[in-house]
Amino acid sequence: MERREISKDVYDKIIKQIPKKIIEMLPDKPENLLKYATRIKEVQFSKNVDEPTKKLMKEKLLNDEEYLRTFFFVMAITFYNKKRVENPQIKIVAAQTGSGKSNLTAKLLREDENYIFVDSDKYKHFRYDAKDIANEYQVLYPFLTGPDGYDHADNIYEYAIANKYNIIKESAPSKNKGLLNVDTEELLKNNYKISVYILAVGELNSLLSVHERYELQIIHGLKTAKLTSVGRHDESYEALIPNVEEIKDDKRINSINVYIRGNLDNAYSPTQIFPSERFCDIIECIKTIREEDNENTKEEFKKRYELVHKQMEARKAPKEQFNQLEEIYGRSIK
Amino acid sequence: MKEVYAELATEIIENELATVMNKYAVAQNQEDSKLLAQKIEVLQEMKVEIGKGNSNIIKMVLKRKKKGII
Repeated sequence: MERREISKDVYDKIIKQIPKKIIEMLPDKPENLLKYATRIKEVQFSKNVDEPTKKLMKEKLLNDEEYLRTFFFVMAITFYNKKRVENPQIKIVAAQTGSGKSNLTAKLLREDENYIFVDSDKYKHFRYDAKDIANEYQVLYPFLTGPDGYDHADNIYEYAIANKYNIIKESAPSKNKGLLNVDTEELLKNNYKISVYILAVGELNSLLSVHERYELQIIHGLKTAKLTSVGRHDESYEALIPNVEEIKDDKRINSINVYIRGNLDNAYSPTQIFPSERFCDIIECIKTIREEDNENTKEEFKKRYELVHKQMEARKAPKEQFNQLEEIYGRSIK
Repeated sequence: MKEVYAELATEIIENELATVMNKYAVAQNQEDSKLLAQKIEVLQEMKVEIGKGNSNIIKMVLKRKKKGII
């Protein structure tokens, strides 16, 4: 996809508005970072986006001045206190939406803090009009702020690789994009060691978690809450095994690890299950753990389902959201 | 503490950081600038603590968000 740079004139105009403290937090002089602030020439739309939303997405694209200003904010936040390393590593955390990727990422970050966490979702909030968009278009917020968020994530990723920072990236599996969704050759050229971390979670568990997380976000007043559709969930759930098959014998990948979700007994800390004595094949491992997890979820399903339902009733949730929950209920009694 | 609470607290802090940075960029006087710069430091520290799984900070953030303080 073709990208374009931001002009020096725009840079000269906005650099005066960036406070000293934020400039101090940057990983390099702002003038040296300018070349990384590139933008996609044509906005890419997913198949499920309708025409009015596409129009609105184009309208809400930041102008170059605001884009660059936000770029400096997200660079400052992301690289603050992080250090370059001689032998960089990239960890890809992969699983379907709702499976607890953030928790595994947090665990990996606790083991070594010196990692850049690339996540397009969090950059969206740094644009000056994020709150206004969230108030006016609660459902469309992720779409309207998406293109600039993805560009910022690409900029950060590119800078991190060129300057040898350790990286953690979360990935929802996809049939078209594959699991890595990164330029492997570029990583190897920069001496990166690539490791993949997979969470094996049953579909019922992750589907319910999608709703539980959404309700909690609403309860805590997060206007940027996002309810993932069953379709998107299923796509990533079904793509995981084919995606792992594609890379399991890839010699360029240093290790592929499988984790199970944490529970009350281990303070919700994910536990590594592959490689281990129990499994000699990664695909068998993922399939078995998913089945076990599904059976366990069925036992607690009613309790979790009823709580979500009650929370939805309390806030008078839209009919479509109830329908989605009922669809998940239907799967639990199959 | 349940995993989702830490995720939620991180999201709240990151939203707040974004708001504070935008306010900081347009702050008119030195006093405001100083206060907002300090707030950025504190929020960064809170983010690190949440990452470490500090349940006191996580609870505090969620409580404050629920009450509308942040």
